[in-house]
Order: sequence, then C-alpha cells, then structure tokens
Amino acid sequence: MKSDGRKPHTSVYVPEKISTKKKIHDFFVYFRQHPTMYLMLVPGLFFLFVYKFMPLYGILTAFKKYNIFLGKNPLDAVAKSPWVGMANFNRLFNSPYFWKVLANTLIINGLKIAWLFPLPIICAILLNEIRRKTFKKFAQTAIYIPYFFSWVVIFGIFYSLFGSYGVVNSAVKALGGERISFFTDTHVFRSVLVFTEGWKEIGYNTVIYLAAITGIDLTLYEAARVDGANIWQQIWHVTLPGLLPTIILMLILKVGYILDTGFEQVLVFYNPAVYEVADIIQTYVYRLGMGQMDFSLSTALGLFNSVIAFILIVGANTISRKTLSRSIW
Amino acid sequence: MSKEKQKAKESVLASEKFFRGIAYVFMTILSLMAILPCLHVISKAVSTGENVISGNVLFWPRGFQLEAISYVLKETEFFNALKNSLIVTICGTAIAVFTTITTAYPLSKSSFKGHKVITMFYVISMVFYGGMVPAYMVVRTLGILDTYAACILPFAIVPFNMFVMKSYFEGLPESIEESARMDGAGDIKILTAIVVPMSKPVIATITLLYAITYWNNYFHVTMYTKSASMRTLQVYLYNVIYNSQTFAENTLNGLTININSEGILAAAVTMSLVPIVALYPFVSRYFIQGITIGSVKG
Amino acid sequence: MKKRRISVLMAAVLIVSTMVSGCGGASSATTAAASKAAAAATTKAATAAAGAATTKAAAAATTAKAAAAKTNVAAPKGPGKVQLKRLGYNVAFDPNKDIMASVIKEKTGYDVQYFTLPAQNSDEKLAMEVAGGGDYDVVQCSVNQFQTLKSQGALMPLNDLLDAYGKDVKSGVSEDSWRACSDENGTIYGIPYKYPHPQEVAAFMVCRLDLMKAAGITKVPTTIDEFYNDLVALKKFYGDKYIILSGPFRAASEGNENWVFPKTIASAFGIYNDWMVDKDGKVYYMTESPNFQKMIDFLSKCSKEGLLDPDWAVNTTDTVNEKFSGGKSIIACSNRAGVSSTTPAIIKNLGIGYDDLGYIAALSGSDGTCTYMRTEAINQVTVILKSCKNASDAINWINLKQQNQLFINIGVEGTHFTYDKDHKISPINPIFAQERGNSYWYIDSTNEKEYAEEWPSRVRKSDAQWAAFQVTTLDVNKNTPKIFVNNDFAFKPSSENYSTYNTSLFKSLNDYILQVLAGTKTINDLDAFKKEWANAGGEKVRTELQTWYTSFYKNKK
Repeated sequence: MKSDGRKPHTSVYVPEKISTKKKIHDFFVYFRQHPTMYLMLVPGLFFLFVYKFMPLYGILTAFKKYNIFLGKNPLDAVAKSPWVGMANFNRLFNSPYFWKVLANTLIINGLKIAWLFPLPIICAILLNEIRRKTFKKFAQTAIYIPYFFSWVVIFGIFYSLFGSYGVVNSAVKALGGERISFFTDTHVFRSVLVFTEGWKEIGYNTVIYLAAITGIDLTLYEAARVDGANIWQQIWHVTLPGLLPTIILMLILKVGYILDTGFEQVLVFYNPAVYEVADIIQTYVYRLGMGQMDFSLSTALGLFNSVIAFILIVGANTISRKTLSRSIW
Repeated sequence: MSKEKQKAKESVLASEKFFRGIAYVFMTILSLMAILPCLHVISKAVSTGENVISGNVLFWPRGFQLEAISYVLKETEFFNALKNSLIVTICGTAIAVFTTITTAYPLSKSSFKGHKVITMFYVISMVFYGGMVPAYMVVRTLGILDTYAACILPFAIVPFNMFVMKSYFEGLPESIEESARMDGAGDIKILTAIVVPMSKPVIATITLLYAITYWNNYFHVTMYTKSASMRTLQVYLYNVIYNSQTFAENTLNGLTININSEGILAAAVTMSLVPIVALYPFVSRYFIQGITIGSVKG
Repeated sequence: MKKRRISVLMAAVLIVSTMVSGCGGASSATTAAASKAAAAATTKAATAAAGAATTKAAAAATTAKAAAAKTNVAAPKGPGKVQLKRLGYNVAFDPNKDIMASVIKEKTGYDVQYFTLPAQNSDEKLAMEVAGGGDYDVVQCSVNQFQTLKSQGALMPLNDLLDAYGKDVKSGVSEDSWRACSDENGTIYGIPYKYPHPQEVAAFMVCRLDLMKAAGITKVPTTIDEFYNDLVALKKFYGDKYIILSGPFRAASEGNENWVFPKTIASAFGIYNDWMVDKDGKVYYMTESPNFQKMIDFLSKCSKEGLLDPDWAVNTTDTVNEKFSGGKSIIACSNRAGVSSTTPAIIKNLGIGYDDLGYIAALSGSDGTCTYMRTEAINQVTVILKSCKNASDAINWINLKQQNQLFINIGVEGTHFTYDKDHKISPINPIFAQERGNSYWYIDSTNEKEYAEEWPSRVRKSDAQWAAFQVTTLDVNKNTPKIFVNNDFAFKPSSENYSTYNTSLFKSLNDYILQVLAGTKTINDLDAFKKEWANAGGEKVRTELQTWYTSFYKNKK
C-alpha cells in the first residue's frame, strides 16, 4: 500500500502464458457474469465508430491526388482518385524549408511545455491552500476567463498593449528606453507566443489539476501533519503523489502532440518578418496549399503528425510503465 | 503535549501560514495579469466610438455609453446565436458526460476482459484523423446536416476526457465496491450508487471540459451548417470580426458615430463572456470542497 | 430523496437532449431522417444502410436531370409554386431575416431560402457541398470558385435559359463580361457581376494636412520625389513622436486585391498589377519588371530611415485605422471604407475639420510614369448548379430582380433617395442605410450601364467616403485620366493553373516584400525568390496567360 493510501496501479504488464482457448473461455465467462459492463460501452463505441472510425477511410487520400468532384459524391471520389504513392509526402519533405519549420515546431512547443507545464500544477496546489472561499472563487474565475477568448480577439488585445506604439512601449519610452518590436523582432517573438498561450490556457489546465487534488483523501494530510510534516513535506508526500497519475497523463499527451498544436495561434500572430522563428509545419503547409483546395496535402500532413504523435505517446507511456508502473492503458 | 511535539506542531502551522501567504500573493498577481487584458475589451465595449477607434481606451472606459451593447443585443442575431450555443452546449455536455462515464468505468476495471483492446481503440481515435471531407460525408449520410446533432456529434466522446476519468476511477479503492458486490449489487447499481457520488470532482471537471469544448467550437459548426439561423456564438463573433469592414461601410453609415465596428466587436465579445462568468462559480464549488474517501468506508 | 430527484432530472435532460439534437435549420426535410437516426442509436447497420440508400438516390437523380437537360428548356413553375435556394458568401447578418429578403419577395413573388458559406475555408466548404449533392439553385461564387466548379462540370449551361427567360439579364451584361464566363464554344456558365466604377484610385493614402503644414509642407505630394522629401521632412520635424507612414491596408475593396505596399507608390514605378504585359505583348511578372528593383530600393530606404511604421509587417486594417484616428500616424494607407470610419472619429476626437485631411492619389515617378489599373474586373459570378431542378424559375427570378434593380438596390424616390441637380442619385440617410444597406449581397446580375449610375449613391451616403471619392476618383478622372491602364487579364476566363497557383504565388510575393520592409530580407534575395517562384507554378501560370493573351488579342485585332 503506497503512502497516499492508493493501490498500486494494476496495469502492470504480466506476460500471460495462458492459451488462447482459455482466454476466449475466460472472456465468455466474464461476459455472462457482467453483461451490463459491455452494454455500458455501447454509446461510446457507437460515437467512436461513427464519427472517428468511419471517416478514417479518408486517410487514403494522403496517398492519392484527391479530386473531390470525381464520381457521384466525395466518398466515391476517394475511390476514383488516382494513386500517387508518397508524392504528397515528398512534396512536404523535399521542400527546402521543411527542416526549418520542423525545428520551429519542436522548439516553440518544447518551450511551451517547459515553461507552461509546471505552472498550472503550482497554481492548483496554491489555490488548494487558500481558505477564503470568495478569493478562491474569484482567482479561479479570473485565470479561467482568458480561455474563452478566441485567438483573433487575443491578438487584437495584445497588439494594443504590446504593439510598437502601444501601452507597454509608451511606458518604455517614458522611462527612457527604446521601443521593443514584440511582434516583428525575431528574438522576442517566440516569447510572445509562449506568454500569450500561458495567459490563455493556465486556467483551463489548473482546473484539471485542482479536481485531482480535491480527490485526495483529506485524512492523509491530517496523518502527515500529526507526524510533524510541514507544508513542503505535505506537498511532496501527499499532494504530488496524488497528482501523479494526472500529471503523467497530461505530460504524455502534451509530448505526444508536440508536432500538432498551436496552429491557430501562430496563424493569427505571425507575419513574414518572423517566419524564420515562428513558421511551423502547419502554417507552412497552409501557405503551400493556399487557394489550391488540396485536400490530399493537408491529409498527408495530418497523417504524418498522427503517426509521430502515436509513436511518441506509446513511447512515453512505455517509459512511464517501466519506471513508474503507471500507464494510460 | 510534550515540548518537542509542541514545537513540531508550531513549525507545521508556521510553514502552512507562510505558504498560504505566498499563495495569496502569487494568485493575486496571476489573477490581475489574467484580468487586465479582459478589462481592455470590456472597456472598449462601453466607451464612445471615437475613443475606441482611436485606441484611447486602455483598462477603463472612456466616455461611458451602452449604445454598442444595446446594438449588439437588439440589432444583430446575438440572441439567436446565444440560444444555439446554449442548446448545443447543454445537450452536448449531457450526452457526452453520460457517454464518458459509462465508457470510463468498465475500462478502469483491470478484471474487465478486453479493456486493453478497447482502450487502444480510443488511443488510436485520439491521434488519427480522417480529414474534414470524410467527416462531412458521414454527417451528410446520417442526414443530420444543418442540425444541432451535427454540432454535438464531434465531441460526444473525447478520448482525452475519458482517460482523465478512467485514471480517476482507477484510483478509487476497490474495497467499497467489493463489499457492495458481496451484498449482491449489480454493476449498474454500483456505478450509479457508489462510484458516481465518490467521483464528483472528476465529473464536475469533465462536465466543465466538455461544456467549454462545445461552447468554444467554431470549426465543426461552420462545416456542418449552412443556415444563418444555426450559427452559434463563436461563429457569430467570427463573422463580426471577419466582416467588420463591409459592416462599417454598409450598415453603420446611417447611424450615429458613437459606435463603430471595433466597439461592436468588443461588445459582442463581452456579452459572450456573461454566460460563462455566471456559470463558473456554480460548478467550481466542487473543486473547493475536499472529499474524504475515508468517510465513505465501512 | 434529493438524490433520486437529481438523477431523474439528469435522465430527463439526457432524453430531451437526444430528442432536441434532431432539430435543425432551414432544411426541414432532414429532420425526419435525423430523428430516425437519433432513435436508432445502437444499430450501426442502420447507418450504413441509410448511407447506401442516399447515394443511390443521388445517383438516380443526376442521371434523370442529365436526360432532361438535353431537351428543351422547361417552363418555370412560377412564384409561389416553388421555393428557391441561394447560397452566397459569408456575411454577418442573417440574409433570411434581413429586410432585403422581403423587399425582393415583394417584387419578384418568389419564396427564397438563403444560405451562407463560412468565413474560413469557404472554397472547401463550397466544394464539399456541391460535390456532396447540395441542392442549391443559385450559387454566388468568387471568380476562383467559379473556375473550379466550371472545370469540374458542375454548372448548368445558361444560353437557352437566358434566351427564354433571362432576356433582361442577357442584354444588361456586356459582351466582354459574358466572354469571361463562357468557354471556347460560347457556352455561358455564369452570370458575371462587374464592378461598376473601374476608373478609381481605390487604394489611396489619407494624410493629416494640419500636421504637415506645421512641418512646412504646403500641399499634398503628387510625385514620388515630393512624397519622399515630405516624409523626410516630417521625420526630421517630429522624430519618433508620430508614425510617418502607416500601412498596409489589407482589406480588399470591390475589385481590388489587398497589396502589402501602397499601390499609389507602385504607380510611380509603372507597376500596376502582379501580371503585366509589355509593349511587345509579352507577359511578365511584377518581379521581372525593370522598375521592381528600384521600387524595392525605395521602400527599403524608407524603412531604414524610419519613415515607415515599425509594425508594418504586423498591422491589420484595424490597427492602421486605430493609429490614424488616434492621431498616432500622419499618413496612412486607406480606402473608402476605411475613411468612412476613421474620418468621423478623428474629427470628433482631435477636433480637426474636413479641410485638415488630404488624400494622396497615384504618385508619378520622376520621369512622369504613373500607372494605375482600372478595376475592370468581374467581382463575382452567379451560377446555377447542374443538379438544379428549378433552373427556369431561378433565371426568371434573377431576371425579375434585374428588372427592378433600382427599387431593390436603391429604393423609392422620395423615401430613400432624391435626384440632385445633375440628376445624380443622392441617398436619404438614415433610412437608406437601414432599408437598403445590405442589398449588395443579394445582387446576382445588373444592368451594367444603369448600375454604374446608381452605384455612386452608395458612396454618397457617407460624407467621409464622398470627400475621399471626389479627390481620388472624380478629380483624377477629370485631370489625369491617362494614368488608368487596362487590366490586360480582366476578361480572361479563369483557367486551371492561374486559379491553382496564383493565390499562393501572390502571397509569397507579398511575404517577400514585407520581409524586405522589415529588414529580414534584401534585394539580394530576389534571385532566390524568382527561382522558387518559377518552381511553385509561376512559369506554368505565365505560359497559360501568354497563350490566352496572344490568342485573345489576335482575335480582337
């Protein structure tokens, strides 16, 4: 029994030397005993199948030159479009800018993870210690609201504040400094991306951790305090272990999506002056395919991102399973 | 109490007090940083037109007026879009939370045969995406284009949320369930009578996550609807932004110049925040109280 | 007890949700199918069967239509007997609820349902709707969308329909415009809407004469050298206090693409379009023009000397407007729509008058070069889908709209407008804006000559617009009409390579220029840019344009 009162997670891999025949037999035994458990899965599987699995047929278009007008309808068009093998992928990989935008994607998302991953955890722990309910509610709501602004609106707000002739720069000028071009200076721009993403998303992520914290048994804290643990030790021995499953889940997923996020933000914020540091794969492909209605190219990029994400998630989960005996599945 | 224990208890309390102080300071700073830019938008919504378009409005209204807000509420399809957003969000969240709970529970039981395979399905669906055209065709084939169902379907189950809930269920002690099972309770009874009441925090979280996802969704709504009467709030806001030039040129020309397209946008954004700010405190109380699992024992 | 009540409530919400999901928008025909699908929640087989049935039905319908199209044109069923469906570009208002819908119904008698495309990904959405069997009668397309649909055979030929029920439409649109929407055999596939006032310096610059006077500048510059000297003088006088020249003005106005550098500056270098034709009839791209380098050097120089907005690369239309009306910039790029909002604001805000605002039209070079393109262009094309079952009614409806053009677009004399002493239409505000403000979205065809008379009234409804319009268009037309050059490709029927590649080519051109302005790239990168451009489809587009140009003008001669 671990110190936080929870059982060790039982998804530890134990090689099964049971014969297939027995496995099937076990399955039917269990099924007869717990039919309602399988019934419970039906709604989720229904939506999954209809909305996620049926459209997967469209992934074929990544290997074809897809013309939506062929055949009787777009689905028929998938079958009728000609195969081009890896041509779409080659167009992407052989482009002179591919490595640059790949590097940008990894760097920007890596910076975001490094800076913005610990913050919601810290916020949740801090918020949890606050006793005054009104302040707690106020703070939670306050950090939460930015999530509801769309990136277009956020850009408008931050440009008024941080533009070359905006509020911040007027203050800088008044104090005798030089104007900082937050939006066109390649040295500063990535920080702008990280900062605005933090502004938007910290509240959202804090909520998730906060819920996990409130699920921790309060008697554990009492026991720790009786043992003379001060607040730092309580956090280290009770709170963090209690948060660990959630933290691992979030970290695995964030790493898994490292190639696949931030498109909308970058598209709204970037401009040609900062392409060098801020052009990511998806914005680059977006410009490549502009006006061409090239579904194949975007599907190819999506497939590339999905495969990488899948490998990363499985890999991270395996590491987690081997070192911390925790696994998402 | 012995002197040692007294000293230990004092140091515990002192450290907690210190920490609490840090917490208040840190969260105050963070809250202000979060709110100030929002104040900028709200101020623009209630300032006179010429101040807005000249960029004179910072964090407080200049020349307070409510014309932009009343324009948004009266003349535009704000309320219709709000109605659509509310319907999609409430119905969608209800369906999604129900589906997530019923999916996460069996999958969280290691004794459940087949849970590895099915979980794998969800992982795959989380990562792989077939493209917007096939998804559109599925929606079309189901005959639900231009309906609320089409706006609800994409998020009826979000694998990430399901994993969060599954992870929470796995952390619940099995002893209670086992004693209920020995008393002869069936699976559904255990789920509804025991697991769900114990899982209030995570259910509240998931409800919130789904509600936000549905509320914020723009892309799917535009792909699957074509009538202007089906637009949700986000679509409406986007259209206002996107069309601000033609709007200014064609629609506002006959009216007073106390409002302009920027002010109208700020008013629309502000109005769209009202439901959220009103709702959040109700939901957040689940995160404020802790629960004692220990008390549910026995 | 409370727990049970809550669970009953939740169950009720769930059931109601499932039922409400079936409700939807205008297409009531799908609701029946929708509730069936929602009820049959667990049968995946049902979904698959429904899918197969729908595709079969769609296939049967298309073959039936193809057979009918070969025979003579069917008679229209008449207003009241059929409901038409029209799909158009994105607008913020609901076209079904706008007053224009009832105005049009009053005059034509037809009951019409209006739909809109989304603001983003509208091309993809249109393709999906049309390819997926969307049952629209009339579709309002951009030129690019028209080309895509036409080349895929999704459009119905209109010649017979126009001769039978669209005579006013046929005669109201000019021959050149029809040619742009037909194929080589003369089969018309769309009804063009031409921008009615081509000789206009639409993208101009507005300037603060009061600030300029204080710095010793007495008049609005007309040549590029005067302009440069003025900028330098302003910088010297004001230093860092003001932004000297702010831009770009990205929002497009009718018929005008958005450029990231001022067209009024480009005019001084003889650059008026991205694709141009030299005196020998050879097609060349902007970057190949002998003056392109000079223009880049000029812009670079301005940028280095701090004469331009440091945020030029980031600016949006709103930020440029904001800076100007906030008194932060002295000269700003703008267009008519822009000044209609900034002028009233700046007058109220800073207490200056109309006389303190000047307008810089096309500048001329030191050798006298001044070229500004006529926007003799097709703005949009209205098409009828091949799958349409009500084609005759659709054409009839469009024809009726055009017959009542004045009433629909301008209104009733005495109520919405009056004729002034030159017999020019003068609108009565605010009722004109209230009751006819959104008529632009509903236009499918116009009698081009008459509309050119009616259209300026839309400009007159705003004093600010009218002030700018007078200087940049009316005066220029009076004093220096020779600066206007034809768009050589105005009536080119859209072609495959052009519509596939030109958008991204134009974007990379704009990006390159912005990078030069921001200092991240220099004129030395021009060769690299040209090479990339050629590979990204530039050469393909050139070949296509050249072929068309040679044959078109050979025939014309």
